[in-house]
Amino acid sequence: MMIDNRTLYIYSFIIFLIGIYGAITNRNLIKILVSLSIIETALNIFLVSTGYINGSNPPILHSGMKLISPNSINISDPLPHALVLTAIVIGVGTTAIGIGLTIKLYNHYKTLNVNRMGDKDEL
Amino acid sequence: MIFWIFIFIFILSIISSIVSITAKDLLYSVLSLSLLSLLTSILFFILNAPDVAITEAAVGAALTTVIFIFGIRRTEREDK
Amino acid sequence: MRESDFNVGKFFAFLFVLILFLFMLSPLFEEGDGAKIDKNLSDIKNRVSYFHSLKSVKEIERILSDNNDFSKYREITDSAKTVIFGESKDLENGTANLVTSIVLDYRGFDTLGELIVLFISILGLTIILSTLSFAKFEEPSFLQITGVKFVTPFMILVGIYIFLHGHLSPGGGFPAGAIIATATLFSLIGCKFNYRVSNLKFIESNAGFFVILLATLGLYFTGSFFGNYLPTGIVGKLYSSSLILIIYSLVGLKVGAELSVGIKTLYNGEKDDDR
Repeated sequence: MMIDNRTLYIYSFIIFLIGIYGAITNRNLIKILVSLSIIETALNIFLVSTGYINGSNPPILHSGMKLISPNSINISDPLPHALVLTAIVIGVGTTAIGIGLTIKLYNHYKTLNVNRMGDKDEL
Repeated sequence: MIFWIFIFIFILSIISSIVSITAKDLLYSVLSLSLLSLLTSILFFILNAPDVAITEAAVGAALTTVIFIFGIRRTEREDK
Repeated sequence: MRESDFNVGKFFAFLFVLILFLFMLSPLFEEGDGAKIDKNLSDIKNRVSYFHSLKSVKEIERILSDNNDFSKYREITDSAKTVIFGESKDLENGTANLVTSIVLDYRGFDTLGELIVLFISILGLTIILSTLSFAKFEEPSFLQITGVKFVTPFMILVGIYIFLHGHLSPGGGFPAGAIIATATLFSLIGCKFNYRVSNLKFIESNAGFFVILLATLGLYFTGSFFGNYLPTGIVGKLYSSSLILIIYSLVGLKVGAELSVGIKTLYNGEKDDDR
């Protein structure tokens, strides 16, 4: 059995929606950041699976391989790979800045729960 | 063969993402996020993208986890 | 009170996610004029990346600019050259890894913007944490110290190998930078090896400056930013595609130094640092 592109799209949609559910139901700041990371992973899977072509080779030339036009070109689409390659490294930078903001907020309010952050003066 | 590996990755990654948004201990949540990244890198290798697989394994499974664990270390561990 | 509100919120969130799932499924199965996944896209000949892969973008642009007739797209596709590993020479760019040729040549602006975003995010991290100082980690054990001293040089060596072979094998500057940053993290945790942040900042700023300088020289020699003006050589040799080799090495150094600065800031705060 072969992997269909449509199956991959539905798979990435499911993981994306699990991330959305986590981001809107959780109250803990670190878990919200974890949910955002899940969403980012799902988007990367979606972009890579748009470039997947059934029964093809990786887009890297090796010894004895030819790219002859127009018939025997049999590789995956390298353009989404290039986009995802840079998107993953941006993801680690945004995660780091989110963790920095979380540490700063924890030092000020002494809690990670978003609901209890406003009522510091009442307690 | 490849198809069954794909089904295995499918089920395990859905389980790990559900665990990472529902666990009460933040360390479990972060570690299952790391497992999701590792499975995703195997999936990228199956989808003929070895560059993306190497990047995801180096960044998603190592650096992101370490940054989250530093964050938990500086704050608190359980979700109250 | 708060608990019951929370459960109602969970139910509505589940409903919202379900409706969103149905919306996302609809373009996959609909027959109509809206957005849908075309069957033709399962063949790479119908995509833009076809010209990137055959390394013949400039020729296609020249043919299209002469008669400006996009109905001849198929004929142009047939007129592209053959690329053979180890034999073809003096192509547009001589990388065997097609992803690298897109990252650093055809879509160079994208990579430059990505480097700027990474730089700004690490800058923001150091500014946010600049007034805090953290408690120390506990002392490493004997086993940790020995193991880390054994492993770290090999990790740095693997990182250097990966960014030097970015145009031949999978990898490149970005994963190499991540591996070098992991090596610095190991030596920070394991044997308390204290990197000076000023040295890392020196490497990072100089690498970024030279990337932009080499890209701007392309504007002078070839007329386009990130243009390739050095000889490209034979596909598959180590010293092919000289400019891409140099720029990817600089990108690897820059990303590694930047991520190391971020990790060191998270490790012991900016305040008690030896600047």
